[in-house]
Amino acid sequence: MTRPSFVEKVLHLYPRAWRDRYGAEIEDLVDEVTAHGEFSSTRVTLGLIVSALWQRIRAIRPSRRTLSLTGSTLALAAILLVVVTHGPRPAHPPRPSIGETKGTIPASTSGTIDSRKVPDFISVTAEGKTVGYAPRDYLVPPPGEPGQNSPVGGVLPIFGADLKTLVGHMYPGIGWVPLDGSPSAGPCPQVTAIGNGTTSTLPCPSTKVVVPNVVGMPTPEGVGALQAAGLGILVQNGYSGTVPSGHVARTTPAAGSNAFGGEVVTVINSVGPGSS
Amino acid sequence: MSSEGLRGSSDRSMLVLTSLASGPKHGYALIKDVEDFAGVKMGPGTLYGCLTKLEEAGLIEALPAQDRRHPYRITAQGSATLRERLSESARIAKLGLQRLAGTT
Repeated sequence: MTRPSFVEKVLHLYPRAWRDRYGAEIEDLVDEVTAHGEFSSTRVTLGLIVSALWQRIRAIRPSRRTLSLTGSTLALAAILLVVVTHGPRPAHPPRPSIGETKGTIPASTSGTIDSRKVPDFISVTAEGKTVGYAPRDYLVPPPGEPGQNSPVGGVLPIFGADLKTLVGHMYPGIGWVPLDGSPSAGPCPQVTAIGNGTTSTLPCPSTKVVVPNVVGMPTPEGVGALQAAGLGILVQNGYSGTVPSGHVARTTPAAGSNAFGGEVVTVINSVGPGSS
Repeated sequence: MSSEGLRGSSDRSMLVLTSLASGPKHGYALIKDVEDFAGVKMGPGTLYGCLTKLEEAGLIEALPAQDRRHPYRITAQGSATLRERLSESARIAKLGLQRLAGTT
């Protein structure tokens, strides 16, 4: 089950009648968008809260709307404030926009950078050219030790052709995304990343890999096959009406796509069709 | 709510109707389709706000659930409303472009 636990709580902000009609549907939809990694949990939550507020206002009879509006707005604003300040942390760091330069990591590997002056995302520059972005909290753990939020198999850099797609999969502690995704475009940039004021050299994309077809395999077997191909793994659960539970429903990037060595493949582990 | 009640309401409702004009779709398919043709990424809360309003106005209707997915289809009244709203938008767009070009 991939549904974040807070979703059911947030759904209780909707009027009872609305929940009875649409509650199950919207839970299923939240499951689906979450399984696909389309939205951060914060965005889903805020969207639901705003929508719940709106449904509450609409549920008030028009004659009483003006009177009741202030009270219910204040009540929901208070709830909103609590959820925002104490709610779940975003699943992903904020996304940089393509082409936006938020700072430069010097190509030299020596020296330290004052992390207090570095924004959330920093562009990675090599030989005068922006080659990617790194999250501010990028931490390179000692060799052999898995990093925080790392996929199965420890810390791996993320590479790919489409920054817009891949940046959503970039977690602090995992890696950076080259803008053009092409390691052959030049010498491998020896760039540095920042971890609490220190710098470390990032790994380098080297080999090109075709993602093997593991759909339908038992998930551990599929993960093994992808790892053997030199790919990183991030396993998520998802519903599937066709693939039995415990088997690989799909992968992103899909089988047959080109990937770079070390690129993280999201493996959707089927948990069955779910119950309607 | 009559279709008149939708006048001046969010363009997102029109995006949802436009998406359903090509056939019934469930929530996730609607989000992807609207994102594809309009570049607008609606979250589940926003989408269900539109679906609630449209269903109450009789412009769309729910179909039986399939495999935890809940498809909706546009009604005849929905098609008529969409056609009317889009024609109106097209007329204004045409007029605006003409005025910008200085041809009127």
